[in-house]
Amino acid sequence: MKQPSPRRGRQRAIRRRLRLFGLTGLLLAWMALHYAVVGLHLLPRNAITILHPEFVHRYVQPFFAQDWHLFAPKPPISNEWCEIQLRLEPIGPGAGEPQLTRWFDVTTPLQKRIWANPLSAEVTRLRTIDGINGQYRTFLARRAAYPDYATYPEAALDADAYERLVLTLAREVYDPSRFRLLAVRGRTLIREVPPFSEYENPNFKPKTLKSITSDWFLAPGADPGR
Amino acid sequence: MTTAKGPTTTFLAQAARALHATFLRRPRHRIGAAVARIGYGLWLLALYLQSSGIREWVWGDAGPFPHPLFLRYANLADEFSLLTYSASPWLLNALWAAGVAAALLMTVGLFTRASMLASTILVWSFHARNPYILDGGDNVGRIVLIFLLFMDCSAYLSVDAWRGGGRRRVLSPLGNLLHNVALYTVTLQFCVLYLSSSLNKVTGPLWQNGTALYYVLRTGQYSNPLLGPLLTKSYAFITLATYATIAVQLSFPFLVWSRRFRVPIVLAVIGMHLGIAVCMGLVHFSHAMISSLLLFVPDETYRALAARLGRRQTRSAAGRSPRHSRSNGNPEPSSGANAEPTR
Repeated sequence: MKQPSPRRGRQRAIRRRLRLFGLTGLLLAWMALHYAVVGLHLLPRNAITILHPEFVHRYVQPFFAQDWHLFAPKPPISNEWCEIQLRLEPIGPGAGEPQLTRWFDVTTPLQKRIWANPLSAEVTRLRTIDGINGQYRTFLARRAAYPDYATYPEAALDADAYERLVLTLAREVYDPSRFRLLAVRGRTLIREVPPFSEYENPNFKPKTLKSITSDWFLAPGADPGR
Repeated sequence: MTTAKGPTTTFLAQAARALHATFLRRPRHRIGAAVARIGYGLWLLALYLQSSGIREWVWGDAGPFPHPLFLRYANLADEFSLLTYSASPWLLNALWAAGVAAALLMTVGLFTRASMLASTILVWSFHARNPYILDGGDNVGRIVLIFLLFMDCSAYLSVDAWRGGGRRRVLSPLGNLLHNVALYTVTLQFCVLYLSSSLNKVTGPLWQNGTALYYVLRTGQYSNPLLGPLLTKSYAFITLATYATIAVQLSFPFLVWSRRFRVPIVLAVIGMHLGIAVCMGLVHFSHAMISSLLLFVPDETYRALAARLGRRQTRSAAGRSPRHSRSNGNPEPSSGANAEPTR
């Protein structure tokens, strides 16, 4: 069998090495470009992201989208509760008029259970509730500023998710053998934590900063007239 | 005959040597990659098992984000998920079981590459199915998992390595290149992460005046009911911990490249995340971060740690050995090398 000449073997090795170096260069160039675009995505709005928003968005979505504020620049400075109120209709013989329930605190019992066991399933539940609630608050704020905002598909999705959330939570707090759910609404209470200046004042009474109440949402099949 | 080399040729030769040494000669941080694989395997297992009892509430139609809403979201956000194909609880349960199995295989390192690929696809599917539950840990986890696919994560601490008779697989130069580029990409990802986070903190008034952690630890959601009131009583602790958080995050992108400071800065950041897990209850987030950070510890450090642990174990075994203590009455061998019980 004919052996390849040492010169040809050396040439082949050089070509292989050049290909590897070329590939290394390409991968390094990709890495530089990747972090340049990710950097643009993370930076505040600037000339490039204003002029070419599609390029940055299309590159980072969905695999490399990221947000690293991590409690910055403003850490949470308030406590928030999600509450729900139900409009129920008693069922059965001699049932009375529809009645309004008290506000049920959804957040505090979940938080207590989470701190008793930080690995419990309640962590996921509370994160879902907080996530949908936060998006709905943004929806309400934007709808108040721009009335046609509610017609945007993203906005409609946030509103529908919140409606579904309060209806889901409502099912967990009333007895369906005695009542029929007519409607439900939610409320978010935002209360300040004692400021650092009141650090040693045990008598400080935190103020409620905001109370945001949602619209009423009809239960499926409920009569709007009731 | 010798030829005189110009400065350009010398520079190119040096650059080629440096590139070869950095990317092509050998895969770096193989033990770290194995530790990160185990960390992420356990992280995925925790994700699935934590929600096992309420999976139809979190990812199914029994909860606040039923399939029709999810399809609208997936369409708007261009999200990929295997759960788009059907609203059936059968599909959800089958994918959930597949997720648990893939995470388990990934943790023990059996069919490592295939189980990591399956785990990545499945976790993306579940994350997209309920985007409201995602936090920074999920965000970093899904990005790092993509890059881990290109790394050799099964060379150590895996059933695959054990099945290979303990012989480390020699990667091709292309395998070395992909492994090392992925390693540097993850390192850069963490530099971007901590740089972005620390610069955002530096601009915040509450971070500047050293009270940010006081406010965080006074909220019901992020304050351990046992530790929070105790820690917020000490203004010195609050101030120092707030500034230390910024200092550690800001130094990471610079010090992680230094051979001398890499391990100390990684340990400092791991300490910060352990603090976040215990004091603020963000266990899932901290787990993902620590799993990635363990990737940056060099193999030599892991080997030195294993050797030290091995010596200590041998020493304590020797101390416990009744034959040893009866035979010569000297329970402490003088060094690790002589840690065999004397007869």
